[in-house]
Amino acid sequence: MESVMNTAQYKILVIDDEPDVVSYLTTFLEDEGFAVISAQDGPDGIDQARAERPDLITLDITMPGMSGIEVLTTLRRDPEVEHIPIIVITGVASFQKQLSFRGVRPPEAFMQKPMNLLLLTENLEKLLVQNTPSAAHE
Amino acid sequence: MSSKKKEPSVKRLETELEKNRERFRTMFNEVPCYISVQDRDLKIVHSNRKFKEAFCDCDGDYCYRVYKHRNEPCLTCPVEATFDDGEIHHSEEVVTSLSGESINTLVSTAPIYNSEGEIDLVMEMSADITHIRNLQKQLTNLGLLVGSISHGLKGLLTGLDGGMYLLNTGLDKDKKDRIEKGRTMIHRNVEQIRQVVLDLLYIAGEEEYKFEPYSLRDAAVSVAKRLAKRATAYQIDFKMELDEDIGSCDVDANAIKESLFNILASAFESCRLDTRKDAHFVRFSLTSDGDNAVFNIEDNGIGLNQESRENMFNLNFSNTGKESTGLGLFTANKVIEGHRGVIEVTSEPGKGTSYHIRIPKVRGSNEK
Repeated sequence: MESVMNTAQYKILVIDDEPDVVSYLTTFLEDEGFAVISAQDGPDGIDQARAERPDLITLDITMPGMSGIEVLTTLRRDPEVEHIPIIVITGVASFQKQLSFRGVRPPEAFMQKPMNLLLLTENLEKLLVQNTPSAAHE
Repeated sequence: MSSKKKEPSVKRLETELEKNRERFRTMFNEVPCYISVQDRDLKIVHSNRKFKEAFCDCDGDYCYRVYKHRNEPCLTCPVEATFDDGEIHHSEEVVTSLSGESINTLVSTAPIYNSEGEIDLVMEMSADITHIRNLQKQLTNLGLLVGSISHGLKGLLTGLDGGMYLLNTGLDKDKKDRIEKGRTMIHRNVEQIRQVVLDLLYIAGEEEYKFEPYSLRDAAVSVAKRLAKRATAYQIDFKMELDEDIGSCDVDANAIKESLFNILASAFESCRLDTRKDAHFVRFSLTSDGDNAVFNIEDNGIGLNQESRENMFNLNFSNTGKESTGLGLFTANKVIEGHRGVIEVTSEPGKGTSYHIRIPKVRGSNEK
């Protein structure tokens, strides 16, 4: 997919418990030129976010143990990482309703599985370009 | 007018009155809902035939004792409300019949006035809506089932999409590892979709089992063969120990094989999703404890917490927490229950899960 973004400067963290989804997303994002790290559960995802300070996080919701909602809540309440934009990628339809009760900033984007790669690219461009220091603020 | 002239008309009126009483008594008794009439002490003074058949012929007893087997009045009572305000009241109640059966009822109460215009009795009319509530429950379950299946299918379609992406880009870039990874993902997700369809067919069909003498050892071998490739692909050490002397058991061969397959597949998935261990195993054994054939399936996958263990055989639950349909273990348990067997599960998060499945060898055996 063509993009005007300089993808090589960005690091993306993929959090999903399903190895097939991690393989898919990681391969696609690397093909697009991004540096990619991944985590297959919530606690590891939080650790990686704090250690690696990625430029963006893709986050699944339905995971064993710690759910994606708990991961998002934890990240949003940590001043060191709360600024990192998050794209939720999930099969859960009622996600947005659940999150409204948690009192945290919602994810910057929300995508349903199965993924639309074009939409994912558009979201990445929008969120990563907006978050660079040179980006104009609204 | 003389008394002799009065008599025929009085008799005629009395006869007419008795006929009307009899007519109203018949109407009261034949109304197709439960009717009771209570006094201010909530004692039943009259009741119709349907009431007597369902609850008891116990005029004089307290309504709360008869309807609900309580020793004191209900917290919110439509009869008391009608005594208070003289209005008709409605409520939905669950009552218990003489045979112990729960009945959902829609209750309406109405005041009955005496000759002084005072409410001395209240009529309680209850329509049986149990059938409607059961239908609602079934529709709710159906809605949940559809939601769960679509949720799970989204995950499988994503896996297929991923496999296709890897395969296509692997071919474009001539990357053999990627091509192989893509093929494996496609194959795995197609297999899972196939199983979802089979499980759906099982749920949609009537649960009529064909019990015939069949070797459970043969069932175990057949299921293990189907999973051999998956064990290799997932790098799982899959070991079987099958008792040679188990003999034949009265089972529906296909249903039992599918049930075992679903449980083993679940064990395999637990291993596949567990990234914290370097090596995984699944042990599958068949033994006998007298009247029962006993299967043991043990894995060292991601394991289950208490909540997951308690809900693992419910529709919509996935023991791996991921977006699967939850049908596999549900149908597996239904089959084992249909054979009057039982599945016991022990598990620890991070350590693994053990399934202990007991099936009576002879149909009709009470051994559990």
